[in-house]
Amino acid sequence: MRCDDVRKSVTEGAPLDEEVRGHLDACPACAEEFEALRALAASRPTAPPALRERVLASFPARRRASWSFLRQAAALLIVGLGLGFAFGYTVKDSRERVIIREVPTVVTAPPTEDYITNVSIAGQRVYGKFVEVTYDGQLHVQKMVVDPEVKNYEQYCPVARQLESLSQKLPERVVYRKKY
Amino acid sequence: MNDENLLERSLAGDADAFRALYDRFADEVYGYARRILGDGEAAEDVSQEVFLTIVRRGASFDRSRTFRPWLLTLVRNKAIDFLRARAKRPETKLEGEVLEALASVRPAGDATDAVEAALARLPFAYRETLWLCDAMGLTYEEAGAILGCDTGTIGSRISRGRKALRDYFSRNGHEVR
Repeated sequence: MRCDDVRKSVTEGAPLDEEVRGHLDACPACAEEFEALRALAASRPTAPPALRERVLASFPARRRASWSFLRQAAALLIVGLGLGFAFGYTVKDSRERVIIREVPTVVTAPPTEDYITNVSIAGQRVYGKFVEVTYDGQLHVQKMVVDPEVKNYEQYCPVARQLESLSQKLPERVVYRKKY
Repeated sequence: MNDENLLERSLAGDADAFRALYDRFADEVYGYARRILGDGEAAEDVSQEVFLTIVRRGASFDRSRTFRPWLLTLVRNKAIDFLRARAKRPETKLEGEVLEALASVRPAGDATDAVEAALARLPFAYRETLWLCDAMGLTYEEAGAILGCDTGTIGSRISRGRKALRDYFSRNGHEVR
């Protein structure tokens, strides 16, 4: 490709194809004239490494279960936990484990087994152990077993904030209140 | 493996495929978002949202199309949503001068190098079109699909944008190597 062809092509707005780019790379005269284009192509920013970690970390959790179920389950869990903490449930220390007392909630319609299962799964996923969920007219998040290191409310806060962000769209049919 | 296959496998829960997809497009997604937003932190947020949207809604991708323009359209839409939220004017129709004004809101010190400064002086439509075609290497058809205009308009913007860019560099005598 000749310099005249490149100049005509570039100034007329033709695509900057491989042939033109190759010429700009090889021809100092044209390169100087179209320095701005070369600079433009070279100025593409690189995604920060921290972004990669953030994005990739979010992938597996989202693929393990239905998002809608997970969101509902997480919402239910945080409301239950919030009630528990708000009304002063105690967290007892142990060398082996810590048990949070029953956190009762009420729903206006019986939840399905899948729904209950997903509440349990959400607890397992968040806390690494298990949450036992039963329904006897009320939905009970009965026992949460967590690591001893995670026994203080302050240490729950980051998790609570995460769950709060998931609970913004609570299903309307579910109403929560303290049992007593 | 091509882009569309990586998407399929990502949607099936293959973390390796998703990682490969991210590595292939992260710079383009982030770069385009940053070009629209003029703000690295906002571009990170938008980029993350874009990749999460791929996972959540990738099933809606039309298999008869190619992935890259679809992805960049998603970036553009998310970035405009972000600008809309930032302006707190959700009722505003983001067209023409309004969009340009919003996109021109750049944090102090962001346009520090010659290229950034030159781009910042271009009208938004030219800046965006130049970025897609000359920096990212999209075809005029692909850019037209993303920006919602025909290839003639793209060519016209490219021609004027290149001239403006070149004039700016000539006037200011920047060394850009």
